[in-house]
Amino acid sequence: MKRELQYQVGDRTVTVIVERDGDRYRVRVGDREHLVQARLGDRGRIDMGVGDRRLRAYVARKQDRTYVGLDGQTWTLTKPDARRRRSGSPSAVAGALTATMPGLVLDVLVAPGDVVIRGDTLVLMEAMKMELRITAPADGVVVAVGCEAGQVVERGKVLVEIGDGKQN
Amino acid sequence: MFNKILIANRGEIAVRIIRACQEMGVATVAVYSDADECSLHVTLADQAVNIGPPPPSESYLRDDHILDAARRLGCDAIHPGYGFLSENPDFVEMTEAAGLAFIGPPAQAMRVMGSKIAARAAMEDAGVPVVPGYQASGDDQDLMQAAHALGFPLLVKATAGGGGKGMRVVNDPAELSNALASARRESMNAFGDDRLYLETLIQQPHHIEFQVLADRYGHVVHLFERECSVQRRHQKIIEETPSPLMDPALRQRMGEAAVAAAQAVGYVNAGTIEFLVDEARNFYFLEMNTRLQVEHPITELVAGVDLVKAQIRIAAGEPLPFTQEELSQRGHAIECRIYAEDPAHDFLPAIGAVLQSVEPVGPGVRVDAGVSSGDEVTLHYDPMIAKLIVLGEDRADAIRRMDWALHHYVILGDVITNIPFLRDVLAHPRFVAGETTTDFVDAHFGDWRPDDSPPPDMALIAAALSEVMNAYTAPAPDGAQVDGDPFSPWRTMSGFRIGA
Repeated sequence: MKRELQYQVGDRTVTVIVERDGDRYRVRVGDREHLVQARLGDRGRIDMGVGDRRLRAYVARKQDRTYVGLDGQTWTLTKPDARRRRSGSPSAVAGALTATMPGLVLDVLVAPGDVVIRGDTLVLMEAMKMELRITAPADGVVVAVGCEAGQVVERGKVLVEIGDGKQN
Repeated sequence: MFNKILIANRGEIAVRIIRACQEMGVATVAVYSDADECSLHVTLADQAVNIGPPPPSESYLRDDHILDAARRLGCDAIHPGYGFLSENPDFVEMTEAAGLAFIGPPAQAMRVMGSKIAARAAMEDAGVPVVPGYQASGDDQDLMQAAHALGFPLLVKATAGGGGKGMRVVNDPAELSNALASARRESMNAFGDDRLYLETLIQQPHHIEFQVLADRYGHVVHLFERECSVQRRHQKIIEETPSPLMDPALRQRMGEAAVAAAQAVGYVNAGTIEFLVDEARNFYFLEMNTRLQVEHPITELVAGVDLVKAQIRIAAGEPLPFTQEELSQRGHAIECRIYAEDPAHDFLPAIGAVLQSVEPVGPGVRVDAGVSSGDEVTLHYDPMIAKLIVLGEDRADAIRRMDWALHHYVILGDVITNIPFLRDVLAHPRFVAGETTTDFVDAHFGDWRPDDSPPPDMALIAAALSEVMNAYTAPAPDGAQVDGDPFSPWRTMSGFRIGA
């Protein structure tokens, strides 16, 4: 029995091939091969042995994501087919200010067409009882406003798009 | 002693208080909002009462709902924890008027210490040094004028504030007007009070606080200091005791000032006097927290006193069981606050589900957690996941033990935690040398980024094997095969919002 699995790591896809070999697993990661003993424990624990090396990892999965904790570090691996597609034109995205966390929009201080200079406050947000100022990262012109006062926004929501003021 | 105590709080501190009650044989009542229906503190209490929707103003701050619950279930005392209603003197009076004991200080002492103006006057009368500042008027015009007289940099602070909320550093007169407006808004949102005051910014201070305990019979002791200089966004993230800055003479002077501060306002129960200590080792009274502190466990470990039990006994009318001379410090304790936040992005909360939380266990390691596997850290409350506390023989031993504990604390899920950041802070030469001041994190970790090296083969192998092996393993009846188990907590509980 042979299983082939793929994980997205940054912008690279890694193929892992797992094959049973007696009481061990023959695992190929890219062009490297490892002979691994493994035992599953409770709470997502997996104890592994490679030669005389012993490792304990924890694995959790949710939808297309796999979370691995090993040796004091954690990694999030995604399935390659679930990779998010880029949306919008590159130039618009480059000047888009997004919500870095979910929160409540307190005030929107700009409107499309406004000229802003670097550091100007564009949007006031509140999350976790902290007030956040979304400021202009560079000089430009407000192209679009994607939120309004009183609105609860999710992480990643585009709040304001800023262009360089030139007509394409 | 009390028969039944209502805990007017949530999260790790509610859990901590419930445990103390259980050890003392006192029954407990938890209160919870809709967001916390299945959270740990609710599960552990003997009884639990829903007090409203998730926003604190509709649940954990609803004094009427909480008092109704306490009366209805026959409680004889209320423990407020920290935050929420813990420093609200009106709530103390309402509790006492309802015939219940409030496990905390008298309303009058709370009122004096809760007001910067009154606290400052009381401290000056008691001979306790205070930070230069201005609080005669909260009017924008007066504050602007006073700011120019005090000079820059200065601090704009909320009269009702705490934990850095409603606080702004103003380096330049041009920033002042913006800072006043936004501090007012933040304070109004957090505390329902938009009064502000100004303070001279003591440059590069140590933040050192003293724990005090006072009984009803006029006995006041201090349980030594806590060094709390490692802060981000004016919130503490690492605390330790003893303070590496401290020497016996300074400890004695500051301890005496702390006791004098408590006595000056007729304080009863547990409280904390916060001081700033400058380069020349001058210390200034900053404020008194008239409640239990988040970082109380390090004092418990080093002084060998259970502060929550002490609070309950004092509120029940018992005298302090020790004198100042009988108290001493043993070993070195450190606390790290594990937050769902992203240190690489200005420590913004990074909330989400905690799929798996595996806490470190071992000699000298204590975890006060309010979030466990399957829970979600939500937008509604503080994003603290847990407090990790260690006791070592000495400071070096405690640092190594903390690093071990952080290394073995596994939190998997969409939450981003500050664990890698905390480990890097502990390893920094300035921290190791004990030379941390309140600007330490900003000065040395402003451009901190997590190690984003690709996962080693073994991490990928763990992921793959766990997937493959689970596919071939029938779910164990006891639910041991979490990953492939249809009864696993994050499958059956999907859709639950169990709170932070």
